[in-house]
Amino acid sequence: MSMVSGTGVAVPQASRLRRSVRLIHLYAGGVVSPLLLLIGISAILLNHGWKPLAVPAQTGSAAVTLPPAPASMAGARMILDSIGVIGEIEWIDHAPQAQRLRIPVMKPGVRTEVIVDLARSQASWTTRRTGMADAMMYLHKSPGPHHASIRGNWLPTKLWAITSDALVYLTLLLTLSGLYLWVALRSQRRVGLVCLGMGLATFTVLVLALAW
Amino acid sequence: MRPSLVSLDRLTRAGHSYVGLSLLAFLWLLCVSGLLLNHHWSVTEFWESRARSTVERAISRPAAQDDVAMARALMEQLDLGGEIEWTQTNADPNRFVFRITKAGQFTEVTADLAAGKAILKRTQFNGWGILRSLHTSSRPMGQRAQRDWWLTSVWFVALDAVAAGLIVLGLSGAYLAIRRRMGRVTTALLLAIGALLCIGFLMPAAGW
Repeated sequence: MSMVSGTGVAVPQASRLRRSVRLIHLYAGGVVSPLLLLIGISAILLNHGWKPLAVPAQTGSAAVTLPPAPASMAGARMILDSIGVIGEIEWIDHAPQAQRLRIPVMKPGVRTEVIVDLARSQASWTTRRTGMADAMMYLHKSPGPHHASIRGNWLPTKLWAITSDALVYLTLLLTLSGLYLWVALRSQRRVGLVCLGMGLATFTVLVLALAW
Repeated sequence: MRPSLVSLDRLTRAGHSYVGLSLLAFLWLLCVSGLLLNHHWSVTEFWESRARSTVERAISRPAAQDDVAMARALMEQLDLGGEIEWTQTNADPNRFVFRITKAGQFTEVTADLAAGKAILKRTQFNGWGILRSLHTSSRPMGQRAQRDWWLTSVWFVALDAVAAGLIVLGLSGAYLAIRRRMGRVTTALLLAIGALLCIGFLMPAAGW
């Protein structure tokens, strides 16, 4: 089947579809490319167990006004706001007998641990700048499966969760559109088929062997 | 257009397609398992529905004294494969406990070296659990910071290749998008949005 284009030239419907898929692939790939680099580099760092370099920590302490429920998310956030610590609350450790709160706070490349002495209404904190590589690894693993009920308690983390979901869906779209474009391209069919077959075979053998 | 650029474009396009096709299955697995790790959909639940079994097997005391070597010797006797996640130091020299992990399962072995028997407690996850563990199992697990099963080492190499492939796909895709006449402005704009997103999320690391 063919349709008449604006210039009066008949354009087959298949080629119109190919053109649309190519545009989708191009646009989705455009926005995804930098994020794929981030994920690729951080995956290599994670695979090789890269550890952040030992950097001197910055410490501080201050008196705080304790909120009614300091061990709650809202209470912990109020304490953090009062001492100027911002970031994602990883979890809250409450030791009632020791009257102590421990609040690890994360930002990409910055780890802060806040200890609140509930008896003395005193907060002390230690901040470590862990660098760009650690930031990428943190983003790769975020939001992740741990402490799911409180995850996304800092706006940028929530936005990253949306971005990482979008990245996955767009990558899936890219693989499907790429597959379609390859099928439509005759010149790369034979070598492509070999690549696809080898990749599938390696994957199947490895997964079966690992899970058997 | 210069002939050298034409051949570079052709080479990049072919490389982009072939790398993408080779990694297709791995990318699908990592995309789906990535979603599973970030979301807690009840349909993909794996922990509550895990299957557990316990069996008792006869063993002979290994000659090795080192805990890892002893665990390996017992694994060979018991025909068990996997990564040694941890070994437990015990006050009783006749009692030796260690755990082996594989994608979607772990086995805790409690060996009574004096009685010549071992109790194997195996926990097996469903397909969703296997998917999740495949995403994370290239990293050294548990207290031991090294891989000691050749299959996880191979999987680790494969995931490294996938990561390198992602970098190649990202760079070649960006190059091809810029070189293309069709939708060049929109693509450049989208590339800039992607780059700005990365910069924005990494800003705290730079101290901004």
